[in-house]
Amino acid sequence: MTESPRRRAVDVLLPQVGGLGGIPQYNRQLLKALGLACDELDLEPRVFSLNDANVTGGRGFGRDKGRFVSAVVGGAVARRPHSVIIGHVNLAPLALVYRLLGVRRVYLLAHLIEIERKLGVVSRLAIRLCSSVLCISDATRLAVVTHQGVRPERTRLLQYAFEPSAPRTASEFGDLVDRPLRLLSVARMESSEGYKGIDTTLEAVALLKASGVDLEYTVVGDGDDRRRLGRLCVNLGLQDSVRFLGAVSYEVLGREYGSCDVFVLPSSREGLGIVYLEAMSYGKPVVALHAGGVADVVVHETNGLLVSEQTAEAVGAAIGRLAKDASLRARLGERATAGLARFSLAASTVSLRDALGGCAVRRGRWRASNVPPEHGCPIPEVAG
Amino acid sequence: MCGIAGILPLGESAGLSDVRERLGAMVRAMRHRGPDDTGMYIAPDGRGGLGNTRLAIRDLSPAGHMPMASADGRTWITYNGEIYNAAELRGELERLGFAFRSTGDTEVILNGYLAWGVELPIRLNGIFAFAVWDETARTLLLSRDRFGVKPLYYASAGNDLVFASEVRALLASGLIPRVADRQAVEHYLMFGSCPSGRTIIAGVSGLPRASYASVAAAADVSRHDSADVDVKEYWSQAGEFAGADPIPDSELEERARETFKVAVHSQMASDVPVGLFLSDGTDSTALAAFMRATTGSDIRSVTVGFDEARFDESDRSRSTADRFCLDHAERRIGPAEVLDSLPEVIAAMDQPTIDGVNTYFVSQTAAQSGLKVALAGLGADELFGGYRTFADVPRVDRLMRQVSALPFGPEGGRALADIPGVPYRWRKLGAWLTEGASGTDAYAAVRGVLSPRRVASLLGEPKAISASLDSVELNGSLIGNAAAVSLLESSIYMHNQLLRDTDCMAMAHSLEVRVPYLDASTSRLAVATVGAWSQSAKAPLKLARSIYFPIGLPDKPKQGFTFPFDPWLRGPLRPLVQQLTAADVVVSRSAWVSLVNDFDHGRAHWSHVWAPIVLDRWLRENDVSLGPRAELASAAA
Repeated sequence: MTESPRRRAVDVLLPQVGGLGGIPQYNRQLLKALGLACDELDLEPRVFSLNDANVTGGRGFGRDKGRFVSAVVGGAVARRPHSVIIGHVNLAPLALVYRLLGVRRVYLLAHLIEIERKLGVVSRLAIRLCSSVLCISDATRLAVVTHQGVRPERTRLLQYAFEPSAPRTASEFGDLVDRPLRLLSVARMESSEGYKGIDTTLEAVALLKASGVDLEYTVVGDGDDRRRLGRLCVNLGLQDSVRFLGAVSYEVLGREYGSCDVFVLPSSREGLGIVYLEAMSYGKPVVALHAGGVADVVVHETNGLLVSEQTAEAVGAAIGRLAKDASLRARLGERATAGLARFSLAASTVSLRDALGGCAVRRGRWRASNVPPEHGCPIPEVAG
Repeated sequence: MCGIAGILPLGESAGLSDVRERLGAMVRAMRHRGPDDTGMYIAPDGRGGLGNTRLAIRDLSPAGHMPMASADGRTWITYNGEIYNAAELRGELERLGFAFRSTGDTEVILNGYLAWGVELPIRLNGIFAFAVWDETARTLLLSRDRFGVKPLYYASAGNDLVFASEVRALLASGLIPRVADRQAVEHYLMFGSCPSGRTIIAGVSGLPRASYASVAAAADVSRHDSADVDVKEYWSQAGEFAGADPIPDSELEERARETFKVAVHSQMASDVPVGLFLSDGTDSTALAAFMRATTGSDIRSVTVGFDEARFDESDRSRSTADRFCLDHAERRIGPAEVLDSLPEVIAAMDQPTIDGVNTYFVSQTAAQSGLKVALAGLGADELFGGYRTFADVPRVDRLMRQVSALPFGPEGGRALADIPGVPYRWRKLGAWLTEGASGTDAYAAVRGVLSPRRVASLLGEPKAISASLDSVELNGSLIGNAAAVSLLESSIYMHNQLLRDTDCMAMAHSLEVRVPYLDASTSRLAVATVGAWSQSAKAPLKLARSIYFPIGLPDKPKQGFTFPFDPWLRGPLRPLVQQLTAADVVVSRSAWVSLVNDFDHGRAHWSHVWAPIVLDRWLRENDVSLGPRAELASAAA
């Protein structure tokens, strides 16, 4: 993006924009929404990405931290920005620099996984120097407040700007008279991400098949845990009913979303869960765990079924309920598409515009015993 | 929902010669309750009859016309309400050999009466008030639902008994003098609503909740005394608490969720679309979740918002509506609109009340958006310990008993009320201190509006008046118990104010409001989970709703759905205060000026000022005189 001397800058510091995974995906959509919000506010985004070699409309630093920091600081000194969005808690210490330079609107973008443990002193200090913490879900807000001691009124929900990444194909609905119920999971199968619940789903499928429910289960995604899951599949005697497709193209992914009946991913640590939104965009009901930020997206008995425990019995009961009731599947699927409006690019743009257009907020510490009545409301506009 | 009315000759005298005209006037006075149809039944001897004005919700066909006759034409019913277990009862009655000509619930009650007599009301799960006239036995059965959602008033007028869904319909009969009951006026000023047994009109009684009255036409009654109607209770909330079977903690969430879902589903039964009064509170957002969980149909939600940010919940309501894919209608209300609409609001009040303005506007919004039925979250706070009173009343009770036991304790406490600078809550407690405090005194002190002393001065009473809550028989020793506070809240505040206001304000817009938290099943859940909700407010409801909502920050502290009257009465609604000061007021002018002065200096709540304003306007609107003081009346007699 070309800088205009007449427009004030919004510095955006991101760990990564390109590649796979939820956070880069979130960042790509953030930049889209930010571009629109900046146009409305007559501001100019100035994007710095640490891990990317190149970024369209911004600068990539190919993991060179020194160059990244000097470019960010140099840019801020040369032209003090109107505001700053720091896209990862590991970059939070740079908030100190901006505050020293007198920038009042410093926002940290928080993702659940990084924020749900108590951070180091420097990061915590930096977070408190931020005027507001933008959270990707209600669960993230809760974690920011409880683990980092940030006051609730200094947190703000920044809704994900969802746009389907996979191409559309016709969705199938049916009464399953002449075919099994098709289940789909999409997840990275890294051993560090064992919380996704693929193993629980495999066990649930085994339970259901044992009770006479006809199922097919497709798993999309790859990683170092795939072998273990494959063994589990064999041990459960599900070789004929489960397909591991590995990493697939967006085209294939779109076909899988379109042809499944139910999307299942009982993950216990999702900050938001973009894959649920993808499945919902195909009008598919979702089975998920009521944990993390999932319930921001999946609304129980409205567009999917949530279970309280990551157990084969609970997940199996939810799948079984959908297997038996075609009208429930159709009803949840219909509401799934309707529910996407909450995650539109327009809604995200409005959130960002309101955040950037507002004033800085006083700093302070929140105590659980003294929740102010206005918590949960939009940030009060207090001159800082 | 409907309006019902009737005239029954009690004596052997000739009776009224103009029953049809008088009954017609009563039905016309309630036309807003049921614009879809009206009907009258005049007994063959012409001395009595039943009337009905109908809002058609179920069985929209002419087969649902009321009053409705039994197959043999000898038993007639006029009925207002909804029976949620009508299908189940219909099945039972069919097995007993009854045939049905309509699909609605009116005929279920009628045949139910023929099958079970006075054992019928306890079998009904719903909101209802009905009258069944048995031509063969020459008896009239009047009955009301368990929590008193649907109103029913009656009075003896000469040799006749008259009854109706509204007090003003009784006035329209021309048989009841337009004179206010002074004790009811005192009660209104002290508590914000008229008591349940009496009404604002002298001689008019309200049929108690969960009761029936069987009246024989042959009885020889010639006095203006409604006590001649033999009222029997068929269900008791206190009795339900006594017989409760506690639910284990491990099963609480699942059973609570199932109970709420089933109750909501059964209350969504309708042949017209069902909507929702939506705010940001736990109760209505939970209803949104349960409604969406049980139906794929479109659901319209309505809310009202304000420019005063502290009172405004519209953003959060919209967010809930989006979450549950509701078709949301929102309206912003400002003081100018309230001022302009005040005559209509007062006209909608069946009796004076300090509340109801909020329900008037949200009902109007619902009706304007095309709804005839809406669910509301009313009742959850009373049944599941949602109010602060559940903590405050036992505390205040202990304090009052201790102070009362001290020499000059009550006098000292009352003196506290006059010391400037003492915090409002303490002054209020001081003003309500009585000799020998009983269980209900603490509740009165917490829920009271104007103190007995202030009411006496406003009404020019020469001596102190009693602040008794005559509608509740409560053992004082129970007051520390959450169940006892629930009983008080549901039989006083909810019954006398919330339900009455909701009925008349919604009916003013021909809207039926249903209250799933007062379903028979949720009521049983409440008594079975008292251990949980007495420890943590509304625990069963919060557990049941949790899976429908994100895991996030704790709920906001309870705010309640209230209009910003405090700032408005200091600003844009100030003319109302000035008009009452300038008018030929029903209350003592000097006491009123003193009250306004206290309000202006932050020593009185906005409701203290609002109560006399409404009283004055209501009496004028309905051409009702205040009536003499008790001692003057007895002296004159």
